[in-house]
Amino acid sequence: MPVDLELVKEGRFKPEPPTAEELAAMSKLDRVDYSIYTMRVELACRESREVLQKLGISTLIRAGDTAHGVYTANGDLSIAEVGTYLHVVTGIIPIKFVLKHYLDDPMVGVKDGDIFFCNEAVYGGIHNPDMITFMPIYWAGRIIAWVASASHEPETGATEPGGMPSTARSRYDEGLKVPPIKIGEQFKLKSDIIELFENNVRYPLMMTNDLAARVAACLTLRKRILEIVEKKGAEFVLGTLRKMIIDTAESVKERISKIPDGTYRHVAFLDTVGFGEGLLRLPISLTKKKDRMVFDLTHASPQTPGPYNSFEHTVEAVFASLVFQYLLSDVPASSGCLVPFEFKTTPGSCLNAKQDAAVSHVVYLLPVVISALQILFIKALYNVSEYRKEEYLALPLNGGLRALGVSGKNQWGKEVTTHLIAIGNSRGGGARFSRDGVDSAGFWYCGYAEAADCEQDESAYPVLTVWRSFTPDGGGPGKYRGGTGVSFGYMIHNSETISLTTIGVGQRFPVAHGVFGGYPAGTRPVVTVDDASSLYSTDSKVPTSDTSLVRLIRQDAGIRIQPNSTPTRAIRKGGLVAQCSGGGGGYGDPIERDPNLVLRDVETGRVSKWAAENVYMVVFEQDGLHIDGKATEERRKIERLERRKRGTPFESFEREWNKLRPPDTALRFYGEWPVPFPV
Amino acid sequence: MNRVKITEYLDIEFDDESWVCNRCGWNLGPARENYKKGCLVYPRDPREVYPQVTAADLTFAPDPNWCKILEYYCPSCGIMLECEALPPGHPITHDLQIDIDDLKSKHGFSQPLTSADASQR
Repeated sequence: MPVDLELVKEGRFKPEPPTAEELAAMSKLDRVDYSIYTMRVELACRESREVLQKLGISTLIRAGDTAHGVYTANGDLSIAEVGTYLHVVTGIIPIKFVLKHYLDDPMVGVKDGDIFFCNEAVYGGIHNPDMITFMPIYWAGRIIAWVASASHEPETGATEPGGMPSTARSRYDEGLKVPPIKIGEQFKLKSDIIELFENNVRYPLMMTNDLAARVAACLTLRKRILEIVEKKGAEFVLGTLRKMIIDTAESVKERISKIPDGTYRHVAFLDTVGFGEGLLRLPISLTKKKDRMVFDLTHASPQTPGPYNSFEHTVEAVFASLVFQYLLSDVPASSGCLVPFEFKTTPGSCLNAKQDAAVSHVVYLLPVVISALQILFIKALYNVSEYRKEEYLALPLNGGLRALGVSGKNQWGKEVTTHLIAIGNSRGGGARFSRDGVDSAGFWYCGYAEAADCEQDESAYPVLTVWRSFTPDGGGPGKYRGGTGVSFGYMIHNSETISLTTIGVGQRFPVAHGVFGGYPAGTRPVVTVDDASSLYSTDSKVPTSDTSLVRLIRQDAGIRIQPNSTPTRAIRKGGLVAQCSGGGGGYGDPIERDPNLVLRDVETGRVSKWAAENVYMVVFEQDGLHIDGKATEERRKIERLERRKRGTPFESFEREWNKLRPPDTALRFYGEWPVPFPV
Repeated sequence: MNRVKITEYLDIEFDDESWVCNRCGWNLGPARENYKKGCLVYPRDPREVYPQVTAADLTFAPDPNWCKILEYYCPSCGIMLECEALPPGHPITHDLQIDIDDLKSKHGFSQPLTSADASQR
């Protein structure tokens, strides 16, 4: 059977028309019962999340990078509980695929107790480390709903350990990719399928354990839905699951309709394609008309020769991550949220790549795109007085992921492979309408997850955490400052040699932008040291951050300051790797920031004294411990005068500006230069 | 004066359909055009905002050959209305292109429409 792309291309993430039976069931729903049992279903999803998080062993499951959902009989998502919003809609297409192709296929079929699996992005997913397990719920001999459990597994048998190879050139470098397939019957996993999975990855124990954990989560969710059926009847469940979707769609339309019609634009850039550096352009225009929004992403850079690509549908799936946690955080996370939105991409671009493209780093590409989209929402929403509050006018968490992949023998002599991604995902929150962003706020797409304790990493993997710290100037300066990320250092420990992969973006070009005069958060490379033992064997100062490491380490220790994405290489015992999760963007002109807040930031190490004086334009008293209020006011007045002197009128500026061009090395993956926005 | 807030620093004045700096009241030009045309612009070297930690190729600050921060100032009061990170020479973004007629309508400032006008909307 050829790959069936029709489900994706037909936009079947969006809900199907309600059936006559569902409409009839909806008409009989009691409002109070509906409200109670909507919450009951959500709590059942939450219970399943707890089951997976307690039974799973991958670093990402432990951190909460999971999603659990309940779907209608025809595969529309009614509600999901996270973990991570990134997985929320990825069950839709695989379920619809099974219904379309296997329900009536006598060689496969769908029966009560069947268990299905998918980790193939072509079939509606994100990338192959994201694995979903799903099951039908039968009642009186027919399917009345589906349940699913999804999580990220940091190993897929790719050309580099960890499932996200920086050097991938095509899908064939990315390891195990399984289309929707039956993996269990009669509520049990099939032994031959487990053997197949284990044979394809470097860390079989994690693969099988987490597969079983997802099945346990599905069974828990199935049990709770059936309890509702037994109490209220199947018709009640059919009506409730459909109404959640319709209510969500109506809610999002109503919210959008309040925004002024118009076109809002922003452009973001990435500075890597995985195996090498280069700029990618990611311009977005949002055109809002009545209760609909069209996102035009047609001018993105061409498909890259690395893994920084996305399929067309993945843009839509990841966009759902934004609206679920931002615009619609108070309504069911259902496929109804996608109804008013339309996306336009260009085939052959990095946002609409061909089927054989490498896409494993799509989760590093799209957060930058969708973060830009959130900035568009801020600009569109500001005019509406009821949205002029911090819940809505909030810059995103830093979308520039950074992570480490390690593979080797741990202290127990076991071969292990993982991504130490949880702490790298502990990123700064963007500044808000009336306050600073949260320091070390969390995952961009995963509002309910957490960074694992360092002891958790150390107990299972051959590393020792030598610091986790805030560093100055991590968040974008502004009237309200972006939250800062976390610097973290790992030393190779209890293992002679391991394979190390570093992944990430944002060493030359900022990825977390500011708004209304707020600056972007800064950039950060990755630092490795071949032998850092000298730092810990003398009385010299011990580094507590990546920046202090660079200042303290002897040059002959084998220090490398590199782009965040580097291919896998061996690193020996005593080696050290340091990275920093990004900060959030700033809001408003930095010289409008309350000087007392600047002083607090300096005292708590969030802002350097240099930045306080040169960016925030505050003046310290001679003791260096207090702000001189009058002198600060005067300094800021002078800065405003200087701006008027150094600024150039727009037209003459633009004339000269348009003659500039970045170096060719920056444009090797960029495509045609320059390309303006679609107008 | 019939103004509505559009951003932290920008209002739109309905009477003459203009962009206005809400810190000082300076008129930045027609609301149906890009407000940036009424601003002063300065291309900031990012190393002036983010400290450099090392003289290596990757300094911990954005690379000025890859990135400039365009700062848009009010010509009257010098407030930084907006800034954007762009590669040198990249086309400047027309970020706010609001349907002024719809905006007026949402704020109750709609003029009565002729039938000809209505057919064009």
